[in-house]
Amino acid sequence: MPKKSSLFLRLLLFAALLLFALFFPDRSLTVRVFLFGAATLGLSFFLSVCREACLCSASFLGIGALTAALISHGNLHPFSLFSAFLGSVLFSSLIALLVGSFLLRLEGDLFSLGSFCFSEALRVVLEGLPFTGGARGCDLACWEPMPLSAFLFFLFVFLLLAFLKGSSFSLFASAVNDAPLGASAVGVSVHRVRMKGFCLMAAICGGAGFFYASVSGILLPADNAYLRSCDLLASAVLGGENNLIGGLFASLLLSVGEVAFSSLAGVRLLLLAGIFLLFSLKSGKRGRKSL
Amino acid sequence: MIFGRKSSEILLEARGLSRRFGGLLAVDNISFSLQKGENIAFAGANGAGKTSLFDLLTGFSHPTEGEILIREQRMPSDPVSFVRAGVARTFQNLQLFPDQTVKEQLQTAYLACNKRGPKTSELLHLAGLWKERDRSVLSIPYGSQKICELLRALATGADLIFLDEPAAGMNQWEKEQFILLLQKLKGRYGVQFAIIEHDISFLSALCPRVLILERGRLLADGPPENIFSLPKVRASFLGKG
Amino acid sequence: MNFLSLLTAALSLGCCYGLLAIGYGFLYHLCRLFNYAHGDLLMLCGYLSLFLSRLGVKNGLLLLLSPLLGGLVSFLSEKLVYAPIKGAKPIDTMLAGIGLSFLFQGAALLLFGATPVSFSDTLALSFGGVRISAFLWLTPLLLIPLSLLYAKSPLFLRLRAMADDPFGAVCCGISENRCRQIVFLFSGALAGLCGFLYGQEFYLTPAIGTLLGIKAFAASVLGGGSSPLSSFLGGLLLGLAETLLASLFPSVFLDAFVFLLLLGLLFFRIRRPLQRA
Repeated sequence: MPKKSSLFLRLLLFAALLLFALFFPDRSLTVRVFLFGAATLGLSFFLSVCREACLCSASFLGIGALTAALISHGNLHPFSLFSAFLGSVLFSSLIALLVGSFLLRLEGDLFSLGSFCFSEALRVVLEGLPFTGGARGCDLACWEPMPLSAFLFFLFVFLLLAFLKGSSFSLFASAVNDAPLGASAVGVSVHRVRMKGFCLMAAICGGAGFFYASVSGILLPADNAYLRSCDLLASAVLGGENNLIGGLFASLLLSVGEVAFSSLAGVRLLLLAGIFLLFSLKSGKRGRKSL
Repeated sequence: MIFGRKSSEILLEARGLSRRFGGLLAVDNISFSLQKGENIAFAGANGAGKTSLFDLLTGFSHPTEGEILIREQRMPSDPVSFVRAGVARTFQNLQLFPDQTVKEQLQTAYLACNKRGPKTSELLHLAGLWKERDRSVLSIPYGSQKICELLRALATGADLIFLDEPAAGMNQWEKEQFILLLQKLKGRYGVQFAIIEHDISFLSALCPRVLILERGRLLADGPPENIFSLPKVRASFLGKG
Repeated sequence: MNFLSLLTAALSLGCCYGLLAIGYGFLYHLCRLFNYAHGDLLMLCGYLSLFLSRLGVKNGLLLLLSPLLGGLVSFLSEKLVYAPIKGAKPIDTMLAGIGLSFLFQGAALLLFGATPVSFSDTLALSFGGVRISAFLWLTPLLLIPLSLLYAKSPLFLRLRAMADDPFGAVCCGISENRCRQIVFLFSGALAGLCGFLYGQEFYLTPAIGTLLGIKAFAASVLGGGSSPLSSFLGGLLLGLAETLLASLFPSVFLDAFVFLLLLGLLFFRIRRPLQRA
């Protein structure tokens, strides 16, 4: 497709999204679509960099939400909210830096397992801590859903990842995935590339957490653990690896699905199962090596 | 590349290098030094420890004992540190990036080393791969893939490149062209090579010095015309009789 | 709860982890596969056994049927999901496992609901006033022949050869596909039996499978190696530690301890460095 028409279509899409953000009556759903869309893009980016199934992306969403709630502490002044947003991004990145230095030394299924363990351990710890509200949750986030801000955040993430897709970082990521030995042999630090991917994903999810806090009311640790991470992973695989538009539509589908199937957990699980199985069968057959 | 240094400067020094894998001593107390501008070859029977030694000398393996110095600086066992110090390598089994084009292979190395090395277009023109620049690296002939991996190592701006069996799988004509290319690169960029090779004529054409390894130990060290006539070398490398 | 009761409860839990860990050990060391849905297979077989029990099937017969059920479901999982993607990237295998896990959980949730359930009639024995759960008397009867089979039988020799060097094993005429199917059958049978016994001793819910599976995998890593005995001992140790610690300290952080333990084990015992050492 010629570049000009592709650019035109993208501008049209963003105009439609802006109108959606400004005029759709359900502000909560609007914010959900954009925040999960951004988180999905972040996870999709990580998938393209590391090609690992991360099962703790929602934990960073939760960390971001909790951090924002604790920093704002019920204060709705714009400066307080901005600090809360910044704090959620930075704190999530810091946690990712600490955790990633161990976790990213693992590969493949061990990494996925490790990320699951981190996610569940964090949930259990947060449920046990009094200052986070424990298992009853934290109710300090009392600012209204902000659809326009959520849209701008999503747009920022989209543009950032589009920029990175065309930068030297994508060459390094491709090198690291294709031939780690070869990448090391030309001076590309495998661990550093993976860390950057992980921390950026965590930062994006942390930022999305700020918006999540506004739509969820009470922040329960169990809401942002393994299952939510699987939701985001399903969005990311459904949308396609590093496919920015696809990620947005997938997250829209799953946001609507989450609301529609809120009382039909079994159906929702079966839908997720279908997504994962179909994707893995399709992708796995393509990437199969012979003995 | 770093210019303006004396040609007698020691670029790389290995002191008492040993590498053990469980019960197997793959590299046994090897010491040698390499002058700047000097090409060197490593030869020996299969299992002599050549690739294990290369892994140590390029940071891909951690020595059980001993140390490696590059320009008198002690090196950590990290390949990226070696690349930053001007030492790069190629592999016995090619480690190209299959999802990238020929041009992207070199660009990756060029950008990873902060544009220190020669430009991608310059290298591709020199090696006659400019027309293949936008092709997937897997779609070019094997000999060209080998050249691509060599150019990628050069794009890092390395002063010393370790080549692990560069002529393996090549026919005689390709080997001759490869020798010419290496000589051209050496003349143009001042890069020196350390080569593992079984083909004596190949390594003799490029390297005035050969180190013979046997069961992880350094058996002999000298010019190829002297080394291969030694009885112990003939017995080890070429077989008795 | 007196000490003897606590000990038998701890040993029962340890036996559960141990049996599940044996299956994980087989899958991981013999097939180089982490089957994410293995714990959920236990849960599903527990529910299916309970369903059959409510239809009037006796516990004695269920003792034989549950491993068959587990083996069948596991065999079908291998045939329909894992076999087509054999040799694929680890992420695809992981996603397939997660998909299977959700499939089992979703099916259990839809068919049986979320309310915790348990068997009304158990195979537990009473000895001198002490309740001996089915786990405790059955596990030794199972473990001894399984260990002998693993160590001495030509079948497991072939499986271990395939695990060590697939190409070499194929050159000796050993079928890779057949080996995988056998490993899945064995591990599925153990999970099926474990599910039945778990339902007898504890409560079944659709969500317990994932947690049990992770703990059992931790036990398998703790034990080290692929032999049934080592995996089982890892499970026993974990079950004992978990129950005894829970009685001494608040249990709110106990699960976190298990997860962090596994993280540590993954990192220090079986991580595969990205660069050659």
